Amino acid sequence: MQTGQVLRRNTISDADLVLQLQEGDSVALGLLYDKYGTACYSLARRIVRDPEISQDVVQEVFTALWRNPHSYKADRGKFSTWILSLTHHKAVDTVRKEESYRRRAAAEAPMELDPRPGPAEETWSRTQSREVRAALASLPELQKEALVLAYFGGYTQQEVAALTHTPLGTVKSRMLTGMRRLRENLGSNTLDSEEGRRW
Amino acid sequence: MSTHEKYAELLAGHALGSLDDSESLELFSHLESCLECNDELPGLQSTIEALAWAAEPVEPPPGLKDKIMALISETPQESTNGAGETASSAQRSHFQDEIEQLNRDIVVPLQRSRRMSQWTVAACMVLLAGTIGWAGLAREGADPFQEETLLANQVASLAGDSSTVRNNLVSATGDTHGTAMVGDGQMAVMAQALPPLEEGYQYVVWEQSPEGDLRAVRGFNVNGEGDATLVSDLTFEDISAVAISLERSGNLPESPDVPIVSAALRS
Repeated sequence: MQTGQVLRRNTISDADLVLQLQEGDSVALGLLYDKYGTACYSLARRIVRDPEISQDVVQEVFTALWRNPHSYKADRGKFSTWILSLTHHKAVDTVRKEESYRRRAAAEAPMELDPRPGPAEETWSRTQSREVRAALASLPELQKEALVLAYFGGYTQQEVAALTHTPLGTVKSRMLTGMRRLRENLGSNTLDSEEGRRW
Repeated sequence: MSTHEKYAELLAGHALGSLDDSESLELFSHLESCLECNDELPGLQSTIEALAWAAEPVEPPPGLKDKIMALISETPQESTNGAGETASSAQRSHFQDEIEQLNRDIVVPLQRSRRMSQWTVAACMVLLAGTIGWAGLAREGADPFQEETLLANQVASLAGDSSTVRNNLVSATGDTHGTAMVGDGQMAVMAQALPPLEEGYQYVVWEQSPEGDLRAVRGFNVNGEGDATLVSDLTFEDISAVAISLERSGNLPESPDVPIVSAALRS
């Protein structure tokens, strides 16, 4: 019997799932997808906007993880951080190959909070997501703009400076201050929670 | 603006993925020695993950998981431990290379026990002693500061295991000379008397994999005497040779133009 057959998604840590994956257990990949597939897809959609391309990004991320599960190195941080970084990297790389208006559309898309409770609203992780978006929304407009253009728009600092007609030094300062303030707003409970969050 | 604030801004830009290559190189080099930046790094990394979770939740299409699972059922895994099949370089996707680059770009804060970097301490003592004798290094380990003494002892302990530590005199041009050391999952490259940097130029460190692939990895911060030390988490399995070259700022060539220092590493 494959080890993966006895895995229980709520009790197996990411580190253990990666170990199983490294032993060729495809069930572990499925469980990792269950945990992070929605987060990865949501991030990809936010950046590239196109549903089909977003699927391609997520598909490539998880097949790449399957192909070489050793590419995740635990000493570089949490698995959740790594796979979301991978998704972000792939999505930004994809969008940079698209027309610039796509990137602008992604960056300028509103970061509104949906006031209506959804079917999964009760879940702890969705609450976390709302907290993060609320913290981001509470930033001064110019700091938020700099962070959103860079992270969700895929723009470099120099491109952000040109887009916003702002000196490069000011853009850098806004990004740093925005990041620090965002961290303060979120607090350690949100940022340093245990791995295994899901929507 | 303080020096730390300048690099903290680069740190934030790096976390956001918005730096250009030359800025990233400058940041990586700075992180090798800046405790303040290393203290700030985990917080910025956590904040970036939080940003990722800030995307409005959108359920992926129900068929996506099945599509992925079907795809992997036909896809062999690469092996890094000798078991199973190993994909040839031609089979490797461009994305796999990107992942490796991403792993390099994920900066790991220095651990407390490594601060005042053991390799840097070792390098300084080697340079002071004017020799590359490990026995001499151990004797020179006495230090008025407890942490440095502890680190020096760690290096001396490493040096006692000749299977894990090698040091190599390197070939160099002009008055430049240097040393490369590998051990305990770390590599240190030290150079002395590097030529002064002219405006518009940068020093670049190159690593060659055992398969012969060449990669520009990091920039050097060079002090007024032309001395520099770079530490990275690499082993003989990762690299077979290193070189330092002087390159124009901006886009890098595929290989070093004129290496100033180079070293073949022996396992």
